Amino acid sequence: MEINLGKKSKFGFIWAYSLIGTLILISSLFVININIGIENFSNTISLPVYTIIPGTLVILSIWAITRVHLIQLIPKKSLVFLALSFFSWFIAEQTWNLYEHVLGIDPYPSAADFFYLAAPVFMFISLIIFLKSTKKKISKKIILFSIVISVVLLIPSLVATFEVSSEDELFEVIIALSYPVVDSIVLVPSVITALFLISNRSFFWLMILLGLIIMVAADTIFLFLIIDEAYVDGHPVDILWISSYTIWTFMMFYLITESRKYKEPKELLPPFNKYGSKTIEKFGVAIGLIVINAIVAILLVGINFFVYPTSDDTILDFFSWVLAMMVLIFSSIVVLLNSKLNKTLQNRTQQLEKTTEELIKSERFSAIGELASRISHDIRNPLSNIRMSIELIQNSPPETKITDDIIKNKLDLVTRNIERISHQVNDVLGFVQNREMKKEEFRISSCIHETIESIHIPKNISIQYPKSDQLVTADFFQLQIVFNNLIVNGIQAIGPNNGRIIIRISADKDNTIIEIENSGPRIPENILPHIFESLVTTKQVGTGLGLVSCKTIIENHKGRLTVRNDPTTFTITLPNLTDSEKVEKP
Amino acid sequence: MAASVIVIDDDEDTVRLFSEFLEENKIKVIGRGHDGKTAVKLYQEKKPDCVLIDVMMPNGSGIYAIKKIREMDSDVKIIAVTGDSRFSTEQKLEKLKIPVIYKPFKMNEVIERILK
Repeated sequence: MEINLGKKSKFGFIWAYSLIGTLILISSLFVININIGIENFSNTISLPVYTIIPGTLVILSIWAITRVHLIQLIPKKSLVFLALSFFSWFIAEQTWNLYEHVLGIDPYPSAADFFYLAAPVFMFISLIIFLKSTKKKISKKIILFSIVISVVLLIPSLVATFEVSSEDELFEVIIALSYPVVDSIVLVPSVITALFLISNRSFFWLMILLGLIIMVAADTIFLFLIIDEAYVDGHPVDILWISSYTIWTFMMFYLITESRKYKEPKELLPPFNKYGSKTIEKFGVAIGLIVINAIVAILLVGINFFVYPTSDDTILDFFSWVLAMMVLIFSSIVVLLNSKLNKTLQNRTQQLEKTTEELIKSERFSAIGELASRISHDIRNPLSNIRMSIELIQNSPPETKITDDIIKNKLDLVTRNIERISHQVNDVLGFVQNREMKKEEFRISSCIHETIESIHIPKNISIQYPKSDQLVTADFFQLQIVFNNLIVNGIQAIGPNNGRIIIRISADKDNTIIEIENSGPRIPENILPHIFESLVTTKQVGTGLGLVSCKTIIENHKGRLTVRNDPTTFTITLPNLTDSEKVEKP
Repeated sequence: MAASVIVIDDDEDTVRLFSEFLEENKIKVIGRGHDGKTAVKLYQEKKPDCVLIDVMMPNGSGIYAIKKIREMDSDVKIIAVTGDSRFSTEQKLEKLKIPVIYKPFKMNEVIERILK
């Protein structure tokens, strides 16, 4: 992702100025101290600056990690190692603060050295992961070039360190030599990344590297200052270190604000859930507590051994141990409870998933069962009528004369009941089949006439055909299914009483409107809102699928199907297609 | 013995054909209806020997009508004639000790049941 400072958004400007402002402010404080002198500078400015800035950096890094699924500028693992390096620097600075400002000692080598050395190693890993993720082929020339640059920069530091430390113990020499070594190691991927960034500018990485280069420069300067024994707290070299931390802090903030551009997906986040949240669930609390415990332990040991090294105050000793034990016990309880809760939560989630799955399955089955029993009921009724009609002719007593009228009457009954079965089957097929739409232009009245011809209209019902007509572009066959359903529904609603079905066609600028009105009883108010839902029917001879199919067909035509009472009227609204749409979808 | 029956089914054709067939077999159809409430009313008015009743009907189901009729007369012969073969319906009828004939049925089977 290419994002240039201040070019893409106003916010960019604001925080670019904030970064520069912060750097100027801190530098000014140091410069004023060097030139004029600020009273108690070490404790009032140096200590808080070295605590607040790296602290903010660590907090922002943790915040960034929690949003890792929304961050695209840096791969997840790379970010984790970057955060680890910042965390190491933070611990190193705090240990240093403890020695320098609280205990007033200068042990060498110390825990601070360990963290100072670990930080560049973590950053090295982070850079390597980033470089790997770019999937860019890095030529051997570039690698060689980077190594050469790093080694060239390493030599003077190595020589200087070696000369000074030659009289020290071996371990001390190794630690002293490690500083320029880790710095040059981290320089290798940095140079590669920098070269890589020339063609693919990433503001975030450029700034991270800038911070790193300033840090390495500061380390090198510090090394020579130490050799000359010229370093004091508040030396200009501090400005470099502070600048690095400040730049990185702003970059972490930048990363978070960038990630805010992407909205959190509503459902559980699969990539984050897959690794991140589970890992945090498993180890988050434990690691957090271990860190807290370690800090408490270091502080207690520090107080006991350095502040009162000669004190016989056993009470202080005692309270220190009790406090340490209490913290440890509390931590263990939290870890245990947390793991227990996690397990319970996992079990519950699994149970819930299983139950939901079963519920969906059983609901699906019950819907299928309901449909099947309704279809079987609706087919058994007309079948029974057909059988009775035939048996009445077959088994009529010999003394009864079967007239042609009787036979015709029974055959009419048979025909009507066969039609009923066929209608049910069509309903089900119309519902389950997802036929491809074949649009053509036709007169709507022709479709209605053709439909009515295929329906048996009882004598007690009159059909009033539409007086006007309209040209539509639609699927002729599918509209026939709709008209068939609505007209047959009307016939069934009217029942044995005299009644009529009125069909009207009208049009406005955008739509063709077809109304099918029947004189049957009104649809009960409780059914009306659900009339287009599957398996809803007011009839004993309906599958409850016909109207669903009708609605689906009309909606596939981008139209609307509505119903109202008094008198019962179904209204189909079909949009008029523009000429271009007709061409697109012939 | 010429029995008297009422025929209740929401399907018009069924009621018509059923009645015609029963009449031919010397069974008097003294009432016809298309829903549960009509069935109860008809039974109250006509007191037939036997009630032939469908189960799935609007305006008071067959089960509703059977319970109401049984309240009035616990001995009356009731036969359920239905296309509803759901297990739940079968269970309800069994609980009420109502014999059931499933559609499509043989006519003679119905006659036998009525006269039994």
